[in-house]
Amino acid sequence: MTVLKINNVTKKFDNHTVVDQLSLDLEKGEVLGLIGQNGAGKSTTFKMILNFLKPDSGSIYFNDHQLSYKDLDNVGFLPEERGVYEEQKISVGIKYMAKLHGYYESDIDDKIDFWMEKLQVKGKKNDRIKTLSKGNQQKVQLISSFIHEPKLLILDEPFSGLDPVNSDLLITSIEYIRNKGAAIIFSSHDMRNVNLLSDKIMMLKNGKTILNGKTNTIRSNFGKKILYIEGNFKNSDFMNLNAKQDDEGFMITFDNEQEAKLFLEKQLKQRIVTGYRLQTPTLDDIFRQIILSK
Amino acid sequence: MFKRIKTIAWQVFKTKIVKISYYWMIFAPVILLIVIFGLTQYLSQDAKDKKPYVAISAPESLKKQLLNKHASSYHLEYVKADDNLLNVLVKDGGSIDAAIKISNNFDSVSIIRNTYSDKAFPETAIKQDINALKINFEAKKQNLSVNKLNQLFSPPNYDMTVVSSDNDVSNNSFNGLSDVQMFSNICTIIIFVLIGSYINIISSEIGREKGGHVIESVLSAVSAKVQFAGKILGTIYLLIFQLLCYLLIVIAVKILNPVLHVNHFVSADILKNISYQYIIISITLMVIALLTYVLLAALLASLVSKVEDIPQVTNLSSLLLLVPYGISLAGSMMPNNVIIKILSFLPFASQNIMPMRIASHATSYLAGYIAISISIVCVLVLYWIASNVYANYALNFDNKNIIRKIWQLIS
Repeated sequence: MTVLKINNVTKKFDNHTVVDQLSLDLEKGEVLGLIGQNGAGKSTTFKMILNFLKPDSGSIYFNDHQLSYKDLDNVGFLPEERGVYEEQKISVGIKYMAKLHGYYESDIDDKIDFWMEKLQVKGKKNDRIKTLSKGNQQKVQLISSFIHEPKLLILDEPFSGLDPVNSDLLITSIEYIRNKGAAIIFSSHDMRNVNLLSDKIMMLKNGKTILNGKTNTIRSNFGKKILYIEGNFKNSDFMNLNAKQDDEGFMITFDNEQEAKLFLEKQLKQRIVTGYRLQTPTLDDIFRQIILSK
Repeated sequence: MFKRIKTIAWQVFKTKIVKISYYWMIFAPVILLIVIFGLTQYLSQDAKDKKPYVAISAPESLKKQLLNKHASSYHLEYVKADDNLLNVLVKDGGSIDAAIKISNNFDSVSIIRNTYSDKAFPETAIKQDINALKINFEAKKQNLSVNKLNQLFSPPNYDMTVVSSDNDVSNNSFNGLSDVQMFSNICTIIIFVLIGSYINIISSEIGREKGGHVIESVLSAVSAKVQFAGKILGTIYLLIFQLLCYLLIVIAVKILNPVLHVNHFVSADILKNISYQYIIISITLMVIALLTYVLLAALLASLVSKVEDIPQVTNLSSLLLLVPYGISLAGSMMPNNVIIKILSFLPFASQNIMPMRIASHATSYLAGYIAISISIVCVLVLYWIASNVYANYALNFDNKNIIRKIWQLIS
């Protein structure tokens, strides 16, 4: 079932195209990672999905109908700029946001306890939000964004400001929500997390969609052009190549898979190779390659 | 939708009423009034109890007449005619508060005051008494009898009737004009304090939410217009709560009156001399004006991008509030001036100026009802404009100067 469908959406500010002909589909239980440099159009895309901004052209459908304010009850959003009612108690703040989403379930207290424990929020339900650290305030805001069990969850840079331990907690939480059937779209600059979480990725560059598809497909489309090789090698053996040395061996990136294979065959004949592997590029590599290309 | 509006309004209300600063805002004017009233009472009582001692150096005949006046506001003490006045004040160690030297034939009267005196110096009363003596003195020289003298100085009987150009005001049942004007002045001060407070409340409610970026989360749940309606309704809840607090104070004072003897100081008769129509017009204009200013402040606060800019918009609204307040004070001397007339019908100004004009018998109750109708239309239009501006600017975080944004909005 398609939860979110965006057709050829374009948005301009003062004749500058911020989002250009963007289209995407997001199914129930699917996670889409939206990547791109700062100013690529990620946040503008989220704002259009949330009705904060009207697209200049194109259409956005939620559950097969044009998105309207009534649909906001089924949408959760964590904005890039964090902001909470600091004077409120944790439980009061979370309940207030749930009520605004039309959620009046009586067992919300149990849900708050569950999520505070799952995300390891350092504080009690009746503590004022202002007494928490920034990271924990962010977790409270995150809980507020999905406590009402939305069908579509939008997270703008959810990992920023979180240490690796808390990032892992967030990943398991997002997976939990995905398994409950929510469609999730998030943006991040942390390619490791995007790779771990996303079923699909979309990459924007200057508002244009550069990549869009299943994560594994995109990675394999780039081919196994990275060769990791161990043996009796010196730096000078890889002159004029994009090679990096680590403790055991060398990681060499080629322009394509064919080049990598030819180089490997040559080395296997001429040298003593103790180990090797051809691998697909990481999202990080793909990101760098696309951004650096003209 | 109304359920969400009520949720937001309730949130605004609950957040404020748990804060001590809110109760200070409610009770500070009452406490200040009590303190000012108490001090005034104390000072006037003190002035009554402590009469200044005035030494007099004058020819024998004048001295006797002055002593016979039995002045109620000062004590007289005779000193020899040749005594140096300054010496009198100094040598008595400050027990004499002033000294007067009257020459023969009233050619000159010298008054010296002791600035260290802790008593009020009744300059007007003393001068009146000396003037009367001089008149008597001159009358005797002219061989005028006391009756003749009284005829010369007795004022005519004044009979004043106030009639407006449309003969409407003559129907007004103001028995005590000063009571109405006092009521009008009290209303002016109350509305000035109330509007000032609520401008701050709504501006900080909207400005902080936006400046702190909470608004993005909120607007992912409800539309901007629902959020705006909730904020305004929450402010109205606070106003109702404040008025209820004042009502409770009045009831408490009534109950405790046998112990506190409040009616000894404040007469309930004030309201008896004021027409109920005047009270209705004044209070209705006050409430509508409050809403008008709250909406204006909300509109301006919508333009704020940073928390630091909030004082700019509150100052702007407060400055606008000062205009009708000042005009109502100055305009009471000329209530039919054409500018005052026009302003008395205009929103943002009518709440101060129209009651003042009615109190001065310069216009009719009908004019008051017309001003109310204009203000209601203005509130509705302003709500529509403010709600749309809020919807357009709630997520606008550009760094343009607030004055530039207002200018853009107007143009």
